[in-house]
Amino acid sequence: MGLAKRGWLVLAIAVALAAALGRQQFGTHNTPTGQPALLHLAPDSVETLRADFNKATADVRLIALLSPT
Amino acid sequence: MFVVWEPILSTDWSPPTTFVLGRIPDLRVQQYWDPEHLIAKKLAADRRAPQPSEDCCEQDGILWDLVALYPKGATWNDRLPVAVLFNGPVVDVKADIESRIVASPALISRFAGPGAVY
Repeated sequence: MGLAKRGWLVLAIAVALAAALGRQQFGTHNTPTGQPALLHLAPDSVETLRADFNKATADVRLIALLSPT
Repeated sequence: MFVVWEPILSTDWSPPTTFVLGRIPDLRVQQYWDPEHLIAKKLAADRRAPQPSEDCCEQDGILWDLVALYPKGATWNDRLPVAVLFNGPVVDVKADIESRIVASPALISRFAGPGAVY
């Protein structure tokens, strides 16, 4: 394989890897390994957060309101 | 710790991505996506004395970039309990959070009520 073709192949592989990594980081919504999954809140599921909050009364608790971007 | 993500800025088109969620790696954290601002509205509605008032943190009437800290023993019944810290922006109140977590029992009992356990 000529040098030019090899260079294009390496570039194509790099682009494919970057695209895959980009999709994984910016196209999915996964929490860090070991952490509970992201929960989508709706009017009928706020009770979930309330229950989680009250399960932890032995601890100091913190609620943080954040924007993703 | 409960991290509630909500769409506030014009660039908040979708739930937080893996990249964003990875900024909070602590395994004790539960992260939520709240597109209808249910928790922000609940925090706003349940504000009452002696909870401190926030110095900031509203956009179009919705609370955001804010931390609410609750002592041991505080329970959420019909209303959220009174917070010992209720302020933001989050980046500016880090030291305040740390000092409240190690606050004296007298300070905590002021907010937690007679049934609180330290």
